[in-house]
Amino acid sequence: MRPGEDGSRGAADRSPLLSITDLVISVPGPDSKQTPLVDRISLTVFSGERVGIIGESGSGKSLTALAALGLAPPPAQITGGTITIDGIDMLAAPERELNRVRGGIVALVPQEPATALNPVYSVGFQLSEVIRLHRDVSRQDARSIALGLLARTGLRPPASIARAYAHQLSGGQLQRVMIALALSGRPQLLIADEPTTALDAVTTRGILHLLDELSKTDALALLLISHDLDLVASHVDRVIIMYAGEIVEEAPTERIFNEPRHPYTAALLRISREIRSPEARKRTLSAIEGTIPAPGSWETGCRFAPRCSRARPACFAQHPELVAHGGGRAVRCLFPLAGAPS
Amino acid sequence: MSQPLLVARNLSKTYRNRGLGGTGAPVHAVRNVSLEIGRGSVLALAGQSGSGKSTVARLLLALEPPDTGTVLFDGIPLNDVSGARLRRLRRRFQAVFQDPYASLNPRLTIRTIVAEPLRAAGNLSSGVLTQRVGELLELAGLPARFMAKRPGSLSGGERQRVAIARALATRPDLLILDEPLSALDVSIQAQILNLLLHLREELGLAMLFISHDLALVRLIAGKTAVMYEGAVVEQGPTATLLTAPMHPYTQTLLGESTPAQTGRAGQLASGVPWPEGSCPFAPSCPFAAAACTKEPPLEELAPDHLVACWFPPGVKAARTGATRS
Repeated sequence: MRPGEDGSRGAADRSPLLSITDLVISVPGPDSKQTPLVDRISLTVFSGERVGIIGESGSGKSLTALAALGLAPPPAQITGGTITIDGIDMLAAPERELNRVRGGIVALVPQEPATALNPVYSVGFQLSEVIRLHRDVSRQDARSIALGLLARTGLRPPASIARAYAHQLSGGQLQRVMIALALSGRPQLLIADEPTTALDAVTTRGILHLLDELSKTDALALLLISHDLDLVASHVDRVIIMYAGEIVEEAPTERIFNEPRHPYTAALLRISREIRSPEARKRTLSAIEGTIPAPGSWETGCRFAPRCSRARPACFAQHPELVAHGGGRAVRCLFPLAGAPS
Repeated sequence: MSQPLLVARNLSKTYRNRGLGGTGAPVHAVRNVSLEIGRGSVLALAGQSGSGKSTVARLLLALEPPDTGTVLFDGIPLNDVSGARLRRLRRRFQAVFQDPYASLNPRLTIRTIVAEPLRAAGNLSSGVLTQRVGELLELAGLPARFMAKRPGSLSGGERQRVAIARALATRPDLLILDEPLSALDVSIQAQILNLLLHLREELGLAMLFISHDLALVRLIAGKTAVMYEGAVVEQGPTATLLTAPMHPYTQTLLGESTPAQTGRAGQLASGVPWPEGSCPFAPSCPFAAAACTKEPPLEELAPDHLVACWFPPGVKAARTGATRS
């Protein structure tokens, strides 16, 4: 089922903006055997749609996003599957075409804004430079477009921000500059890789609020990557949960929240509610014990089984497939929490 | 009851903004901060980045001296001790930092890392060291076989456990934890919080728990102090602060009120220089009035509940000495 059918946005345009099918990303091991980091991931983002990818460090979520733009850092390489952006085959297109897509159709908002800017040039100079790369405009026009973008990302006053250097801005301001940079090529999709991990709670809300606004006013599609399900939930239409290189559950946000089916999703929700809800009066938190298995040490059975409180013998023997549950939901679990596969 | 384990009185610290692009303007990182931590109790220090939380931690750890004010650890003024005496005293208060990827030397084994404070503290035989490191790792929830590993092969949660084991090596009375959870995944945050809860019960450890996320400290800290622009703006029992915060900034931290002024994108006007002597939160405050051009003192507005605000929202009468006109 496509997202437009259950009331989310983007109903008019039915062809996906970003389409990833059976993507495998691996690193070559010592014996030249490939160790998969991302294992047969499929996902689509439609025009104007907001999708969240949630996972712990090591789940492969950031790598998937970088690979979508052909930016998987070596030695990681794509060893299977397809990536299509706006109809362009990202694995076969010439570099010139890829550069048009990067920034022009899909733009990346990085995790560490402080290291993404050149410290010796002013913010305005760097912004104008990128604008002129994407648009055929004069230096002067680029400068006024830059000021407009800074204003649009909530930076006040734009002229003094444009004159500033990276070290003179706060983390929140830098992240807004990164969003302005990402918008400079007038993209249709923003991929934001943990855009708020370096920021405090108040600043985080401001950045997510800005992304919300942009997706509404500019019909910008959003792929928001985070380890915090609770944080991004109110900012996306659909959620994809990743664990150990694969998707374990995906569903419209409301369904994930009201009725998680995968035990991992349920545990994540329980933990963030317990940590944050001021009502609860418990002595300890129900943590997920253990750690996410490293690539190369994935078991033949369910990869979450060793940490799952509901695991049965079958879970250690058989690797579960991602099964459609109807209503836009898919779950990778032999014994999902409620409801039966349709 | 006996005296508190740690008493900080009227701490202030000002830095000069020098270096590349520096303006030479003074940065008042900590302004007149007073705190108390009782034996075996946990105080949370909350506030956004740049509010001065970590500078307070550095002053309490005697990593640098305050410009004014005193820190008393178990009645001993830290300003007055130095050299070997300070080093001996330091065994009783230890620190755990935010980023376990940066706070552990990647070239050393876990055994060497955890044993380091023990070596520094005295002559112990290799056998005794190994045994003690094993006990410390177990206390931090790690099996003894981790001793031979190096930080590179550990996950973020495991590294933070190693940092905690190292901090516990000298059997301290007080742990100062600077954002110990913010570099960790949500599922791991719960594990480390559980470990700290367990240590508080088991060892009667006192803690200063620094966090920008007020909700995270609910379980562990009996009392909380909220900082804004270098000063404590609200202080009281954590449960009270979470359910009935009085200062508009605390309410903003909890997501209850939207700050005024830059409200469009929901950002605070933090870092904007405020007029000398006025309330630092006034430029972002939805309730700011004429009286707010004078900085309000931190005063007890309810039993055990200190607030620095002329017109705490939700509190009926304005404070004496302030008029709204």
